Amino acid sequence: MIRLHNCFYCVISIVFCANIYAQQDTLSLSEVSVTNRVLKEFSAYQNVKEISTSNKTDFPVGLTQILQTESSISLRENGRGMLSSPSFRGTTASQTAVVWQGININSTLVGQADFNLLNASDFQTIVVKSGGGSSLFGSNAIGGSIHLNTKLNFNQPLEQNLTFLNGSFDTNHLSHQLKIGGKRTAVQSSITYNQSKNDYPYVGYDNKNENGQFQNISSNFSLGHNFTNKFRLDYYSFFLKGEKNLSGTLTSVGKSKYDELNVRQLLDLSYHFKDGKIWQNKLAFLLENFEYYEDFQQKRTSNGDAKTLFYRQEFIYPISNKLDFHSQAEYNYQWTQGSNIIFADRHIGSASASLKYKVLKTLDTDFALRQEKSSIFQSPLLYSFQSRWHPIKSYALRFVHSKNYRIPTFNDLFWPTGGNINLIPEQSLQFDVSQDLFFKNGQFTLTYFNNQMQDMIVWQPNESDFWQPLNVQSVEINGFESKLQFNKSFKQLQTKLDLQYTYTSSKNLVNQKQLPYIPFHRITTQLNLIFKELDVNYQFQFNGQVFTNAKNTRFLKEYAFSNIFIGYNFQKFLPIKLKLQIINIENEFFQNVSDRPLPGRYINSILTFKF
Amino acid sequence: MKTIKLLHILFFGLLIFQSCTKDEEIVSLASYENGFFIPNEGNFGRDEGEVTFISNDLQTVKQDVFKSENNGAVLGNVLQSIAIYQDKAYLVVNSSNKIEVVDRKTFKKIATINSQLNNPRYIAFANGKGYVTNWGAGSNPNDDYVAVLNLSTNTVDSTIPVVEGPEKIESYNNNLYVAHQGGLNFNDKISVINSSNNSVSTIGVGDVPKDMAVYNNQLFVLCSGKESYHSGGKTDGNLNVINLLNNSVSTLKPFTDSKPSQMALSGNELFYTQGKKVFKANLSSTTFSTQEIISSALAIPYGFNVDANRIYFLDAVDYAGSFGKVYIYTKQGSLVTTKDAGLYPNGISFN
Repeated sequence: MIRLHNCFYCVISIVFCANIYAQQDTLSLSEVSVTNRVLKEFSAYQNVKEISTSNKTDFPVGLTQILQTESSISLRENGRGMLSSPSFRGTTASQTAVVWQGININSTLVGQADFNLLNASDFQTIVVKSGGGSSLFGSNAIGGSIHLNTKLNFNQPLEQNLTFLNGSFDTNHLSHQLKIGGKRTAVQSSITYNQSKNDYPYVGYDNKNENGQFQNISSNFSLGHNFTNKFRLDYYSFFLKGEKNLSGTLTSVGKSKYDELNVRQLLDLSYHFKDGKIWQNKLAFLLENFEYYEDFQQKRTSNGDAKTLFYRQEFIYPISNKLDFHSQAEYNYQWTQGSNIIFADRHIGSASASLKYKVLKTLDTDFALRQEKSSIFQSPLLYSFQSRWHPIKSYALRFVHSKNYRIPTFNDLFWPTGGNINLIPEQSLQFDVSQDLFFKNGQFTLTYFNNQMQDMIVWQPNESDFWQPLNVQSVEINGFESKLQFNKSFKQLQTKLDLQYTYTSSKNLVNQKQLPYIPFHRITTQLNLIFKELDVNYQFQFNGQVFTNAKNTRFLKEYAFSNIFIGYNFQKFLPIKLKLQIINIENEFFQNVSDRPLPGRYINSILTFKF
Repeated sequence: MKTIKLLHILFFGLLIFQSCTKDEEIVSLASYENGFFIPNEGNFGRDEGEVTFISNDLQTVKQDVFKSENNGAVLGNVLQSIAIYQDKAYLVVNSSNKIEVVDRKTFKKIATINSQLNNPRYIAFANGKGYVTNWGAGSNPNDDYVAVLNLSTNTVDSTIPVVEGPEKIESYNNNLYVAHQGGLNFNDKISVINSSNNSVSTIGVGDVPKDMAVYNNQLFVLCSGKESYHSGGKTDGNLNVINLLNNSVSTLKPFTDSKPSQMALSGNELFYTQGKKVFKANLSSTTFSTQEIISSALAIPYGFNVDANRIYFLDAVDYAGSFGKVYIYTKQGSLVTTKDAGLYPNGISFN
């Protein structure tokens, strides 16, 4: 049975007596929630990319295709629509944090998020941030983090969006978004439905993807209310129910099915003082539930439930026009029940503080510290130091150094045969240096990143011949990200060009080999042309060769393909946009997991209404 | 003259360039007789199953035999076993739920059996039919069966329900003996199938029967015992013998130290493995005694067999992607040589 340790948890509340007179903050209570504000501050130092609205409507099903097109993240899927795992800056799937409204929503059981079970149509802002962020966002934020947020707009007339997608392999998507706001109350909601038979042919083979059908329904609802000019209460909720049959390999038809349910509830209470200080409380409940059918024709399943109760208290304290202080205290209780792990739980408490200091008019710095205490493992002291020097309008130099971590998952700790209660968190010590060049029509950024990882958890067979996770791996990651963005408007033509090249070396220090599924090279390109009502988007991506085992004796070939989207905006007559998409124009055969190919050329048509 | 020479060089050069750009060379062997096949499982969930061939004189070693002889065709997801019968070889591809039937001399494909197989493991032959053990869904103890294969039409004629986890199957005197290792769970039974009427009966033996060998109307069963993570906890292995004339079971030897894994018979000698060691027993002597003959340097013992002259011990080497090896010894236990195999080589099938 699972032993329950004595709990070491502490909730530290730091409240400063408001005797210090600070300059009035010009922050408008209504517009920007504290979560989004914190993200804006981070983006001054690290590479941050906000996914554009048009791209969200171009890829409304899941998040995988958007991230593959817009970011440097390398994603692999066990077949289209199946489990989608990221590899961000040379790290593995559980070292990318997915953060919803400021809360980490990676699976408690397996440590990663499935990017095919997060629909772009449900989130208003999707931001991809490169590099570590544990001091603020906690566990898993090592390679980078993806932030999914809602925007509540006050004084907003009713605005609705309806999107229909119909595509190859019997794929259908339907989503509706609504937002409305009065002087004191704002509401935002969305509902999404996806379904696909997913029986795509394998390019160059006689057979096709069978038993790969999927469907999911998801919804989000957010409500914000200002009680007085100082006191604001927000409610955010999220729901997703997904079912997918697990497709097999090139030669074996899958027989299994996987059902998932995610429910998230968040209450956010903030008090805004006259002098710009903000006191914020977040209370959240998260639920993930899965049901795995080894044979979908039989009723037998293995299943599990993981629940999280989360409380965070934040204090934002502007001290002067050069100095800002931010403190945060968190308490987290997680528990799981199921057919594999009968019952297990843990408590984690943490406290963090950060100081933002404008050393010179052209030099900004940020220093943060975080300490956690858990009922199960010892956590390291985490910190981050960030700086940005912007001496002239066209040049900026940024430097970040941080210590980040990833806590062991419930499966790592408590799996009935092999779970290891003595695991410690994985640690990452990283730094990155970026240079930005701003010119009239665009921007060029070059970033060098370095990450030393230790105590990485690897499942290995032991003498008794069963597998067990151990903190045995050390990895050294080196690489660079280069991005060029260029826009120019002519009389009636707007053009936009995005180019991205990433080089990543992620070396296992024991055998000096590249970690599996991490390509050395990755290129993404997007060219967008808008002429009156016509909108043309051309995308190209190149993904380098990846090894599929630790010894690098097997690999998957590099591949490249492009997409073209042609859209027409009927706005003069009706608020409708029609878009036709051809994906993988070259009909390229490719796979990013052994023997599980992705589709060749296919088409989608998307109709969007705005009213 | 000069131009023709130049053209010849150009043409020849192009030819070389053409062959160099191909990913791999496909070289056919004249015949796969007088040697043995090694089934390489490959990783679970990947189409990495393949076959290695080594000639009896050990001079020829050929990897990826199926692909080479069948125009680059992918064999499938986990090649669990190979069995030779008459002029054919039967390749049981576990996770692709199929059996590839090939000519045992040319290794060219004859037929594919892919219906009514659900997690197929091993095959044996009796009364002109093939008998294939199937787990069904690994987590379901009630859907395991033995499929009866029609060898002329290459289809499954009927299925015989059996208890959980049928693994190795042995044919003797028109009967089939199935060792129920337990699949994803554990079991302790031998099923006896009468090939004239396909009736089944069971005989209780020790925990986790892994291997069998028949000698002189006796069925030797090597049981490795339960693991610590099995319900009820760890138990010791033992070597049982079943008198096939009256189906009585007795224990020849308990294994209180380390768990035994595999067993093979040659002539009147029984060989079995315990970890990295190999032991033998002479079955014609009046008392049963065992003797250690090999203490090997294998990293991960993964397969074992013997023939008239040699002992073969297969090493998976590691779980990180290294290719396996076969260690070849004399019957007295001295190492002759090692040869390369594929990913996770788990046995030897003599041709």
